[in-house]
Amino acid sequence: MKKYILSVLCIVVYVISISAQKKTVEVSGTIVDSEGVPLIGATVVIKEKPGLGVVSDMDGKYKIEVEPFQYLVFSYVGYETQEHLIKDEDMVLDITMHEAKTTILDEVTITGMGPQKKITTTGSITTVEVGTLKTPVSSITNALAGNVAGVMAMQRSGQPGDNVSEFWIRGISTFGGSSSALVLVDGFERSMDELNIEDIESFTVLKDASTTAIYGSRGANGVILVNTKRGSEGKLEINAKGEYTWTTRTRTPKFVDGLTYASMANEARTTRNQKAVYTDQELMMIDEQLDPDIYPNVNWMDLLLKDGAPTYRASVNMRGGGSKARYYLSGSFLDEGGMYHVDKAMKEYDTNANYQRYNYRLNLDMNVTASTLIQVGIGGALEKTNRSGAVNTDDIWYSIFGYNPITMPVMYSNGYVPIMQGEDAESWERKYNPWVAATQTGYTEVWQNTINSNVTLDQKLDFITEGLKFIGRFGYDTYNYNHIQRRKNPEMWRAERQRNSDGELVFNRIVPERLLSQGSSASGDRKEFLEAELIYGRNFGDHNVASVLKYTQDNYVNTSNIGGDIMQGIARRHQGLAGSVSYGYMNRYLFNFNFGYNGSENFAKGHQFGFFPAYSIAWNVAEESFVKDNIDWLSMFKIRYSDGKVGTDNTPTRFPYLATFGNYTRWTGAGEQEVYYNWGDLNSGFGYPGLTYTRVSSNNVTWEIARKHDLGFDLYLWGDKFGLTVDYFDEKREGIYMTRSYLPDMVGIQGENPAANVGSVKTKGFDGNFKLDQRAGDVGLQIRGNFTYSKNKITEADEMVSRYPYLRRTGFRIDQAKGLIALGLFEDYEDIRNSPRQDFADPRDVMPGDIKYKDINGDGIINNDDIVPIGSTTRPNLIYGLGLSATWKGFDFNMHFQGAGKSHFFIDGFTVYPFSQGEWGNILEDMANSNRWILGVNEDPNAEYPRLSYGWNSNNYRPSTYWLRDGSYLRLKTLEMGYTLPKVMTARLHMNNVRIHFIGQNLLTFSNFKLWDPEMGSSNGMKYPLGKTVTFGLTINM
Amino acid sequence: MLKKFQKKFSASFIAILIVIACVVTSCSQEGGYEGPMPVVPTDPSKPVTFTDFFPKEGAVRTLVFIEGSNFGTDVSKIKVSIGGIPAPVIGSSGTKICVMAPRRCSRGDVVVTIMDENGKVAKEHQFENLFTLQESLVVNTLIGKVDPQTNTSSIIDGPFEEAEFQHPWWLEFDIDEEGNKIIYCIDEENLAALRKINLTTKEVSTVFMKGQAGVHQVKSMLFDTPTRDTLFFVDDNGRGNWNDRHQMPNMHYALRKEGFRKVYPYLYGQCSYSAVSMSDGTLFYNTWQSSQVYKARVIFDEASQMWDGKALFSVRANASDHIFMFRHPDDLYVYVTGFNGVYKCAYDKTTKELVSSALHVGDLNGRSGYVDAPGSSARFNRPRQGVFVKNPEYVAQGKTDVYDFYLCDHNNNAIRKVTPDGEVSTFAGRGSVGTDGKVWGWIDGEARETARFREPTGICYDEEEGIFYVADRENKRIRTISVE
Repeated sequence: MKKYILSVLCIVVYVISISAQKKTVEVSGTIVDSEGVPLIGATVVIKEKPGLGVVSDMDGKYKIEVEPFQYLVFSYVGYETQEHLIKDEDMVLDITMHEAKTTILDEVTITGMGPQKKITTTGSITTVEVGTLKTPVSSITNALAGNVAGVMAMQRSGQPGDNVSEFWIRGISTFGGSSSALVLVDGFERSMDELNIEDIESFTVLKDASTTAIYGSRGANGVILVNTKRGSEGKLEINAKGEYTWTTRTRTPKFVDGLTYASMANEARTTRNQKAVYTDQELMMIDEQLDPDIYPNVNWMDLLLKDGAPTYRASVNMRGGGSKARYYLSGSFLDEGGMYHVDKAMKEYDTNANYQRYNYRLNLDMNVTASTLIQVGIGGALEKTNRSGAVNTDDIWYSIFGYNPITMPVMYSNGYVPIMQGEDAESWERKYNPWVAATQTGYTEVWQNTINSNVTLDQKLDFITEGLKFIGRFGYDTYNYNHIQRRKNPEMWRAERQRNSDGELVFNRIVPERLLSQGSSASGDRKEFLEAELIYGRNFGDHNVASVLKYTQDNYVNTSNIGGDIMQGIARRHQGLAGSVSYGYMNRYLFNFNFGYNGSENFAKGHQFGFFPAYSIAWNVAEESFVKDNIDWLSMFKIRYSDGKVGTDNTPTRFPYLATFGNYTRWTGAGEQEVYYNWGDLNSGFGYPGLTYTRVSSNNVTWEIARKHDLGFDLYLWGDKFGLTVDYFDEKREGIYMTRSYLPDMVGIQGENPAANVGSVKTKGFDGNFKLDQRAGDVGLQIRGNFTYSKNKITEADEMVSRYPYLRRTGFRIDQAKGLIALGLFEDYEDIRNSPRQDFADPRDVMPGDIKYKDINGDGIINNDDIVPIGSTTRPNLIYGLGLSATWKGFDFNMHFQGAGKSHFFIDGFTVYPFSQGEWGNILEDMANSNRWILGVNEDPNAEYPRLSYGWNSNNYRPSTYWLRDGSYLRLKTLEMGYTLPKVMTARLHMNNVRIHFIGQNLLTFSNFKLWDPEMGSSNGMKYPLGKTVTFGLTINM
Repeated sequence: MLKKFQKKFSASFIAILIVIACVVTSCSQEGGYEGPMPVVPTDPSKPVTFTDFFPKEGAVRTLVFIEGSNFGTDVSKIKVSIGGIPAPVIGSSGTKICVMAPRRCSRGDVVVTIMDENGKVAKEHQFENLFTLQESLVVNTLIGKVDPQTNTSSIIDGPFEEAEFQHPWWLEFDIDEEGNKIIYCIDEENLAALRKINLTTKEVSTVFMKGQAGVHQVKSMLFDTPTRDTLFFVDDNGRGNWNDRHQMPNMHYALRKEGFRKVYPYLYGQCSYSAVSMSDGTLFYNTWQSSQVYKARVIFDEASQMWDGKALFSVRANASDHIFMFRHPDDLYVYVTGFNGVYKCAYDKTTKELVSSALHVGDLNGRSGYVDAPGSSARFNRPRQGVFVKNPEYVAQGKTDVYDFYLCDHNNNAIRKVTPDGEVSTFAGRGSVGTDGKVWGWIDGEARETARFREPTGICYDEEEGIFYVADRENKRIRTISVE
C-alpha cells in the first residue's frame, strides 16, 4: 500500500518538476515577524505551482528561482498569508509577516446545509476541535465522552477490534427502535468506528430539531457530521506520525488464592448446616501442593493475562495542490495487540486477540471551470481481527471468572486436559478451562473491508442569479465482513475426586477430541446515495438571505448471506426533500425555517411520507449598536430558541405492514418442534397442522416522532478568549414502536404479535461547554470544560396495568434499575420473626446475616410486589469533562479529566454471589477482604456481604439496593506532553515541524466501585478490561 | 527535487521504523502455561532426614504424611511401604511425602526409601512407630474393564481382570452343585445377555444371549424358592393390553440341570416386571398396568383357553410404574420397590395370597428425592433391586423380623438400608463430596465417606462372607461392599 502511494506521489512530483524547466529570476530575502524576529520555516511557494517551494532557513532567509510575472506566496502557521508579484529581474524581497487575528465572527460551523458562519447559526450545534479528540486506541468514539458537549458515551469492552464506545446524543429518548445517532461521514451515512483519526477535518454534532429536521425521519436521535481533510492550495505538505502504545488494564478483578477459597467454601457450608467440603488434611494438601492433580492451586488470571500489550500506529498523509486541483492523500496502519498469553509451542497460528487496520484515503478537488468544482473522495479501511477459536469473545472471561483456583489444574500431570464439568453437561455449556479456551481451541479470523467513494459536483449558477449554486453528490459504499472460525478442542478429562486404591488418578473423559474444523460466514452490504442541492445565499445590504433545497435518496441492501429471504434482498430505501430558509438582519436578528419531507418504503402506503418542520430564532445581543458601542469586550452574545419535529424510522422489523403465513410451530414437551394450530378452545388441545398467520400485519406502523425544544445561548468575550455555550433541551418522543405484548388470548393470535407506535418518552436536560484561553508571555493556557445531563421519563408504554404504580415502566426512566430495598442484614432469629415474611426462599431457610428487605406495600410479605425503582440506569445520565492545556516555548501539556454520574447498576453473577453456582465461580479478593458477615466473627448487620451460602440463595441473590452499585467515576482520561523541536534544528533536517509526545490514557480512575472499571457498566465484570495506556509518538511535518 | 523529496520521505520513515523496532524488541514473551511443574530428586549434597509420620492409624486408603527434609519432589524416586506392602506415593513437597495406606498392611511398619536421580538408594528409613490399620466398611471394584478413552465396554467373558460388562442390571447369588459361588447377572436392563460370575474360579462367562433365549425385555429374575433348581425370568413383553396377553410370555424359566442355558415360556400375561416365589412354591408376579399383583396360574379363562393369574391388588391404586417385588426370607411379607418408595405386602400363609400393600418407606405421592429419615419422610429416586440381610442384633434382641433390607437407589447413586421399623439410611455411596456437589462416580474406599457409585441397580449378598455385590450399572462394573 505504502509503496503504491509513494510511486503515485513520485510521478506527480516528477511531472510538476518537468514543467518547471524555464528561464527564471532569483528572489531572496528575509522573513521576519512584526517584532523583527526571523521566522524559521516559513513557506515560500509560487502561486499555482505548489510543488515548487522553499522554506526559510535558521536566519529567516530564503532564496527561490521563479519564472517572471508570477506571484510568490508567503505563509507561516499563525500568520496571515501574503502574495507578491515578481517581475522579470532578480530581486531581494524582505517580508514582515503579521499575526493572523482570528475572531469568533470568522469562525465557521459545518451544518447539514453546508458551512455556515458561527455568528449566523440559530440551532444547537457542537463543533469539536479535532485536536482534542485524541485517543491512542483504534476508534475515535472513545474520545467522545467528556470531550463533546451533548454526547454521552460509554465503552463496554477493551478487546482489540471491539473497543469502541457506544454513544448517544443527549442521552436516549426511545425504547423502541434504535437510539443511536445518524452519523454522516462526508455527507453520507457511514460508520466512524474505522475512520483514521488523522483524516478528520471537522467534527460537528447537530442536536436540536432545527438542525436535524432536514434529516426528517432519521434525525430524531441527533446527527454527527464528520468531514475528512481535503487538499489545500500551497506547497506539498507531508505529515508522518508514528506511535507506540503499551496497553495495560484500568482495573482487573482480583481473585483469592486456593487456601482462602477452600476455607471460604467450608465456611459457606458449615455456617448453613452443611458438611465442609475440605478437611483439614485437604487444606494442608492444597497449601503444600502435595497432590497438584487433585488439589491444585492455580492463579488463572496470572496464567492467562500478560502485563500489557503493545499497539503500533503509523500514518502518513500529504496534501497540496494549486488553484486548479488539490489533493489529500493518506495511509495509516494500526496494530493492537491482545492481552492473552499464547501457547509458545504452537507456531502455526496466533490465538491472541489482535486487531489490525489499514486505512487509506484520497480526496481530490478539481476546478473544471471557473464556476465548476468536482470533488472526488475515496476512502477505505481493511480490518483484520484475530482471536482464539472459543465460541464467543467473552467465553475466555466467562472461564477466568468461573474457574476457582483449586478444582482443576491447568494440565493433569499425565498431560490430560482438564475441564470443570460433568459428563452429563450439554455441549453448549462447555466450561473450558481458561488456558484451553484461550489457546487450545483453534482460532478465528475476521476481515472487514470498507470502501467509501463519493463524487460531488459544485456548480455556481451566478449567471442565473447571483448567489445561486447547485451541488450534486453521489456516494457508493461497500462493506464486506468475512468470518472464518477454525475450531478444535483437545480431548478433555476430569479426574474423580479420589484416587483409586493403587494411588492412580481415575479419569472420566468429558469431551472427545475435535480436530481443527472450519466454519465460515460472510455478510456485506452496499449503500448508494444521491443528493441534489440548490443553494441560494446573498446579502442585500443589511439583509442576509440563505436558502437550500435538497433532494436525497439512498438505498441500502445486504449483499450476502441472505439466503432465500426475499425481504432481506430488497433494498431499504429512503427518499426525501428538505429545505431551509434563513433570514438575518445585520447578523442581529436571525430566523430560520427548516423542513424535511421524507419517505421510507418500510411502511405501508399512506404512512410512508412525513413532513418534519422546525424553526429557530436567534438574537445576537452583541450586535445591537448599544452593546457594540459600549461593551467592546462582548464579542458575541446570542440567544437561540428552536422548536420542531424530527422522526426516526429505525424499526427493528422489515416491512411491519406485511403479514406472513406459515405453519405455526410450537415446542412440544419432548423438546421437538411440531406444526400446530389450535382450532379448539383456549387451553384445549385441538391442534392440527395448517396455514396460519405467523405475523399479523401492522398496517399503521410508522416512524417515531420527536418534538424538540431547545433554548440556549452562546457567549464570547474578548475576541474568543472566553466562550460559553449552554443549552436547555426538552423532547417528547411519541409513537415509539413496540410489540403489543399484552393482547388477550381471545384475539386468537398465535404467531408474532403485531406492533404499533404506542410508546412515549419525555426527555429533558442541559448541555454546555466553556473555554478560556489566556496567554502570558511565552505561556499559553487553556481551560475547557463541558457537560451533558439528560433525564428521560417514560410517559406511555405497552405494559400491564398494575395495582402498584411503581411496578410499571411508565413514569420512570428507560431501563430504570428496579429492585428491593435492603434494610441491611438480619441480626438474629428474633429479628427475622419480627419482620415481614420474605417469600423468595423457604422462610425457614432465612438466617441471621441474610438480607432483610423493606415491605413497600405493607402487606406483611416481601415479594415481587415490593420491587421499586432504585438508583438510575446503567448508562450514565451525566457526562462531563474538564481539560487544561498549556504551552511554553516548544513544550505543550494537556490534561483532560472525564467523569460520568447518575449511573447505577446491579452486580450479580457467580463471582459476585459467592459459591452461587457451587464450584463454578471464583471468589473476588475484594469480597474476601471486605467487612463481610461471618457467623460468630463479624455479625455486623450492615456488613458489605451477607452470610455465605453454598449454592443459590434465593433470598439474598436478587436485585436490591444491597447489590446496587454507583457507576459514577472520574478519570484522568488523557495526559499529554509534547515537545516540538526548535525550528533551528528542524530546518536543518529540512522539516517544518518535529514533535515528540507522550500520551497517557485512563491513567487514574476514581470511583466508589472498585471491582472492575465502572465505565463498562458490566454487572459481572466478565469482559475484556478497558485499557490504560501509555503512548510515545513522533510527528513529523514537512 | 525528486531525489530531495525521496530523501526526506525516507528519512522520516526510517525514523518512525526505528522507534517501532526498538519497542518491538523490548517486548518479551514470558508467562503462560509452561508445562508441568519440574520435579527434582533429592539433593545428594545434603542429608535426608525423617522426623515423623501422621496419622498413626487409619483404614485402608488413608493418606499418610511423612515429614522430614530433602526428599525431593520426584515421586518416582520415592518408595514407601507400610507393613511390607508398597504404598502408592501421591506427592512430595520435599519436606512432606503423601502416601496411601494399601490393603493388608496390618503389620504396620513404615519404610521409606529415597533414591537419587540415577535410581540408587540414597537413604532408607524405618520409623519406630507402627501404622495401625483400622477396620472399616469398604467399597471395592471386583470386575469390569472399561475403555477409559470412550468410557465404553462390551460383553466380554474371561478372567476377572479381562471381563467386561455392558450395563450390569440385576444380580442373583447362587452356589452350584460343586460348591462354587456364582452370581448370575442380567447384563443390560432388558437383558442383552445372562452373565455368570464364578466367584470361586474368578471367571465370567455368558449363559445365553438374548436372541438365543427368545425373550423380549427381561426385567428381573429369581430362583424358585423351594427347589432353587429353576430360574424364572420376568419379561416386559410389551403387551400392555389385557387382550394381547396371550401373544407373548411374561415369564420364562430355565433349569439348573441344563445349566440355565435353555429358556422356556412359563406364563402368558401382560407386561411384567418382577415376581416372587414363596417358600411354599406360590408364585406372584406384577404387571406394569395399574401396578397389579397377580397370583400365578389360578384362573382358567374359557374364552382364551388360558390359565390367567388372579388379580390381587394394585400396589398403588390407579398408578403404573416399574415395580419390583422381594420376598422376606421368613415369608413374613413381600417388599415392593417402586413409586419412589418401598411398599410392604403382607403374606397370608393360609390363603397363600398376598394381602394388599401399604407404604413402608418413601413418599406417599411417589415424589422422588434423597432424604434419610423414617417412614414416609424418607425419599428415594427410582429404587431398584434389594436384598434382605439378617441382622445379628435383632436376633439377639429376639425380634420376630430380623432382616434389614438393602436396596439400590438407582438415581440417588447409593445403596440404602431399610430397617423393619422403617428407618432409612444410606449404607454406601455418595462419598467424597467436593465442590461440584457431584455424588456419583467411580470411587472405591470407605463406604459412606469416600465411595461413589453410578446408578447402581442390582444387589445380592453372600451371607457366609458378609459381602454385598452391587451391579454398578453406569460404571459397568461389579462392586463389592465388605468390612476390611
